[in-house]
Amino acid sequence: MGLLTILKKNRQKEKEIRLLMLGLDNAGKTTILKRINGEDIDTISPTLGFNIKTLEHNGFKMNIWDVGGQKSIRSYWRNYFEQTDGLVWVVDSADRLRLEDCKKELHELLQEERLSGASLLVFANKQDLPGALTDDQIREALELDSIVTHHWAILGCSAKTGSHLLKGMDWVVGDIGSRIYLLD
Amino acid sequence: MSDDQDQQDEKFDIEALLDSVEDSDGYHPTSKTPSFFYNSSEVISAIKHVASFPLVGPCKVDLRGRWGLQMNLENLIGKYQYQSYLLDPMLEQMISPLITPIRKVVHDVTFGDLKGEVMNEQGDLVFYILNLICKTRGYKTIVKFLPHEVADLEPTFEFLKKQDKKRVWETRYVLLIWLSLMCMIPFDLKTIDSQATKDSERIPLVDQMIEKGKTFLQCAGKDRDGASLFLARLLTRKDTCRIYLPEFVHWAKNSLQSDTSNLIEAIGIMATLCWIFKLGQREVLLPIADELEDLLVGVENKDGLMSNSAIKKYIVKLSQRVGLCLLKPRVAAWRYQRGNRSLVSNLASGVTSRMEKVSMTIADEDEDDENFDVPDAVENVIERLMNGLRDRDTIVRWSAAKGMGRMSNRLPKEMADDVVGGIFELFSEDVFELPNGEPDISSVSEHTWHGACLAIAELSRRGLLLPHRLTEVIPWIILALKFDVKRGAHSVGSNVRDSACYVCWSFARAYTPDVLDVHVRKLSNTLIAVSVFDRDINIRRASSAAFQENVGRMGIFPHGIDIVTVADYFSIGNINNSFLNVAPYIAGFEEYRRYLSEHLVEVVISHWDIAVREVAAEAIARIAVLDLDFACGTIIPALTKNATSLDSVIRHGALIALGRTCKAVKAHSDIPVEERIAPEVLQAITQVAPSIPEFTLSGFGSEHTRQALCVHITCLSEAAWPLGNEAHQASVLNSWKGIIYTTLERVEEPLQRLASETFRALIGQYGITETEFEQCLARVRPGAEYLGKRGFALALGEVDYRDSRYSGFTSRVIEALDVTANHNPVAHGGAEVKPDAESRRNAINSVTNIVKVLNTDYKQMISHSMSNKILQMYFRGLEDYSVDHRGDVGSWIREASMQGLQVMVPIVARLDHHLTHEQADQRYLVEADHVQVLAKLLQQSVEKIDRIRGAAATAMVAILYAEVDPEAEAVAGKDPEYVLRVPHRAELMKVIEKSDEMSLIWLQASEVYARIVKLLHLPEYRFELLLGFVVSAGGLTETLVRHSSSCLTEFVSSLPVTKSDDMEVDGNDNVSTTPTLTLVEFAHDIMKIIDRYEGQDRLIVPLLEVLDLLFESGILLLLEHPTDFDFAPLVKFVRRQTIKCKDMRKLSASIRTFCGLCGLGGKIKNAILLELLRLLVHPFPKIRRTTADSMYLMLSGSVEEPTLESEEVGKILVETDWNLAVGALTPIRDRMYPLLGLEKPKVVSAPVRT
Repeated sequence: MGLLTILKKNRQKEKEIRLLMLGLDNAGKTTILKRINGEDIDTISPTLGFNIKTLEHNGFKMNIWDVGGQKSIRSYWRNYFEQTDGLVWVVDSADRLRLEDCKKELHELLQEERLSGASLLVFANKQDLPGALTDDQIREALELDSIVTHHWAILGCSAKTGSHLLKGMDWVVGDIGSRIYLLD
Repeated sequence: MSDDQDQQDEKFDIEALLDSVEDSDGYHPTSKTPSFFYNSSEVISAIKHVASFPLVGPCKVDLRGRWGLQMNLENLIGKYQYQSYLLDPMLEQMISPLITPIRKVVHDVTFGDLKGEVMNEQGDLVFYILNLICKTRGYKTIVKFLPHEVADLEPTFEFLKKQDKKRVWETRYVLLIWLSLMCMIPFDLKTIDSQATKDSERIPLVDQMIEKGKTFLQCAGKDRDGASLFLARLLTRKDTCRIYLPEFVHWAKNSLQSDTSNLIEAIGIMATLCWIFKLGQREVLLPIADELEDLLVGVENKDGLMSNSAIKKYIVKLSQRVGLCLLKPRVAAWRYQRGNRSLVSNLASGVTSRMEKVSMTIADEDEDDENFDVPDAVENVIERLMNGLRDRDTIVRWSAAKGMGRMSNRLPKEMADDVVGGIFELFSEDVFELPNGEPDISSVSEHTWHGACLAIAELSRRGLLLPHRLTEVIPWIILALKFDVKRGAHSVGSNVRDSACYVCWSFARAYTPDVLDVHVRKLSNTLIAVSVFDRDINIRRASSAAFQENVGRMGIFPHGIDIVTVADYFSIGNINNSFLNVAPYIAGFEEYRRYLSEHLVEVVISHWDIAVREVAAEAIARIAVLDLDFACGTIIPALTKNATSLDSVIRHGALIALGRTCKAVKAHSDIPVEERIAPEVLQAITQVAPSIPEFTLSGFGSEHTRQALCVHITCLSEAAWPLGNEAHQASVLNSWKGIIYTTLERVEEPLQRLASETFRALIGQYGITETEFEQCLARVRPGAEYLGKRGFALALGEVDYRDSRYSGFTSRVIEALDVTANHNPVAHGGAEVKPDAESRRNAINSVTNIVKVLNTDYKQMISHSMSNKILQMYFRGLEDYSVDHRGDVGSWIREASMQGLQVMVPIVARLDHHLTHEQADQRYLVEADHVQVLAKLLQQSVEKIDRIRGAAATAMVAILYAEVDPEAEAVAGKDPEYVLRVPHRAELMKVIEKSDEMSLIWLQASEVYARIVKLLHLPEYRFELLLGFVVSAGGLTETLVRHSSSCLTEFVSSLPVTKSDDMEVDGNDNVSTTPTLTLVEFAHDIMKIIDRYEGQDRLIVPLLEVLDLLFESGILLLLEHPTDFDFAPLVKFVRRQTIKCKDMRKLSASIRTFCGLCGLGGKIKNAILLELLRLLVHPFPKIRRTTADSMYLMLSGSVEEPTLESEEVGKILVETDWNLAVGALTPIRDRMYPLLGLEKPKVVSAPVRT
């Protein structure tokens, strides 16, 4: 009866879900997190490292890990004490120049064993900006249709206005819930 | 199988995916874990198959078939044991095919068409699978998928009643949990029960069910658990609880208190009561709560029950549930809460910055919820839980901790605070104060601390540990994180440390950063120290997980992100990596550096586990160099003080750590260490080893002290540590040498090796006098004490003889070692002595070492005769086949000799190569030596022991492929120039390839013999190779014999009889470049072995076996006697082996060889028959039997037409009981002389037989 077992038990009892919030830097990960956490989004600086926030939604307890846009982040999901159930990949829809980078990073990420099977939600963020690509364009640019290893969905959203954030979280929680928990 | 394949292709196969991921980047985390139910279709079709058989009547599938189905499903579903929630989406599809036939059979055999029949074993299998799913996912989840129809209740109960208790328990268990579900149907049972009467309150069906249920409570198996649940469900029904529940409690109380109560039943009753209090309505339970208190006290007074963990757990659990029942359900208004946590409300509110208003609310204390009475009984409950926290059994403590959390949630603030205080008191139980004011926790109970930590974690997780209590609790938690106490031969406390990690983890989830801010420093330091320096991998991981959680949620831990990135689950999994790489990295941050050093010096260096101390010593050295002033001013003085401690554990760790730290510090310091370290400390360091008390160097535990001292002295010597003025230096060195010399005489081999390395370091740095060297040399002379001889033989090889101080001794040392390496006994002091195997091996290794160190200076130091002596010593070592009670100890010496050749030959041959042709006489090695080296290695490469073959192969590759200029780069198309001059290089290189896979092939008997047998063609190596083959092919190990002998016979059978035969076939009269062996030559070589080794049974017995083999396969019979080959000497040889021989194996091999030789016919046959007839009356019955058997086989297998006589002989051989006394057998034997056409030999001198 070590920490590992205790955490596993608690996790199941309290219907916990672990979500990783990832994406290139300046995609708006922290803004989204602060927005859904009901915090002030006016002052946000680049995230160094990570934040963990806990929220309740549809009867699930979500632990959202907001990981900075830097590269060496493997160790966060290599923690075996908690399994990662869902990935929220945030894209800056207005940053056309780095879409290629973004695609590469995402596809590399999906190769990670600890993330296999995790549900993938792509947020095409910053839809409020003029010139932002639509979610369909992003879907094509990121070659999402080639992903067969994960359940995935894409949704245009705006952290600033809060549009579609709830819908996205609904999808990811619902997908994870139906995959690993018995819905009452 | 193909069906399976198709299914695999159709669905998304996560396993295959993972494989491809691993291949792509080589990233292998631990085991693969599925992330969803990937083989669901396979599982469901298997389940449907199982459920498709009729459950009544004769079985279609036999036991084996059922077992196969069962195992298959166990494998498929068992994978999910640890992630059983993944099954959830498919559970309905898994369960309904199973329960449908069950329902049918239940109805059929109770009230239906097949009434009176019984369910067959296929039915049991269906129940078994249902239980398998229950076991994997948990029955609570499974039960939801079972049907709950009114009509099932009575038949199912009837069906249960009919179950034979001798059949498998799974059936009864599944039926009981199914019934427990049916008990929840909302209709009045009276309306269902067919036997119920209107006027009675009682329901006959319920009466029966309760009585039946009670009988199950006496079962020792899992069906008891099912029965508990079933009874609890039944008794907490609205229509039953009023009458039946008090009755049951009464019955329970009586049977628990009766003198005849049995333990199993008591567990069952307690479990049932626990369920009742979990499931029942509060108003139903309240009236019986008082009676429960009596019942609990009653059980507690029975020692027989209280020694059982399950009973104790149920007492804690039941007591807690009674307590919860006494208190009104509520969530403590006073609890600590952090933040607003609903996603929807956050998003709905939309507007920002309302966080501050809602966060950190501790409700006002004057709320009216404080105004309720707490029943007195609650105090008893709390006391019982408090005792439960200190219990010996983990399950009891865990249950009590959870109970504490739940109870506190319902208590008023004041009382809950008392509870917290009570838990704190558990920590201080049995804690004494040390003179320096620190708490001494060496005598506390690890159980109590574990329980207390669990309770604290449960409370803080629920927000019931208010922030103002943190200041009090955190010092205890920090102590608990480091709790590692040695009790007897093992340590205790890993559970305490683990639970302390849980506390820290729950802190991260419970509090806001500003609450913890003041404690961060201490917590982060300790968590990090435990993450990298704990002995147990689980604790390191738990601690790092807690740290990660804190970093992520608090963001206030200095350098948290960098540390989390480096100290992750994997990197700290390996203790060496954790101590030696991760810890120094973290120590790179100033905030942690000193704390980590101090933790090492104070805690880890005196750890009870020697391996931890050793790695900690290295870690100290690596961290010390990051801050030299701190190292010199604090760490080194502290270690110096500990190094003279009387506690052997502390002393051991500190001695090693001091040595390593001094060495590292000196290497990193740009100014002399004298300027950094205080003079009195310097003085103290030099005094450490000399002041070690004598008694610690001998007797129990002394090997550890000596090991530490050796490392200590080695490090200081290598560092050229200043030892003060000359006189002082001399006295220190004297003491060091004394330690080294006495350690060299120890019986432990690792210690001797260590001491010899220390010897090298010391004399390399500080030197020794000639007289001292002479003394060392004297220790390896013949007649010297054997342990010292082993040690000093090693030590002498560690000296660098290029050093002008010792070069004068070179030849004398080598000569002395050569004598020591000799396995042939020499006369000494009137007796024959020979050094023991370890000394011989050490001596040879030492010579090799000397040669290796000399390398290109060999020429200046070693004369021709000396070089030859070394070579001959190795050759002699290869002949060392000594055996003692440990087995083939000679193999150590052979191995050492091969390694010696591997080192020496390339070095020497390279020197030779630089000489011109005119200087050929100056060469160390002549051509014949080169051939000899290879031939002898080839012999070893086909010997019996895998390890020896491997060593031989390594040596051969090294020698054969040694290049003149090892640095030269390979030029395409041009062969490199090799130093070894041997004939048939091309053939050799084809067989002895230089590649990595080859090193494995040599270890495998199945590969090596087939490969090397071809080399028998080469006359230069044939004799030695054949020797090796004979030993293997005639050996005892079955696999070895099989592989080697089949290769040998196959090879020999392919040989031409004579050279001319070969020529005719080839039609080529040129002498081919590759020589080929002929059968005649082969036979001559066999005779050569006989001539040379007769009398050495190690070779002769296998040789006889091989001869038997070769005759049996008819190969040797191809030779014409006597034109091709004269067999007479061979017959004589075999005859000699049978005389006065008592070795059963040798005799029987000789007999078989005799029979083989008979195949030659003629005079030889007659001569041999006489021998065999003699052996028929051999004193050993077994030999008589063997002879008779072999003779019979030989005669019946003969090509000659059977005659009356030969049939008669065969009859005698078969029908006689050769176990009879020799006297009785002799006349029978004598009858055979005339039958075989022989004349009975006249007894020349009658042998006296008893």
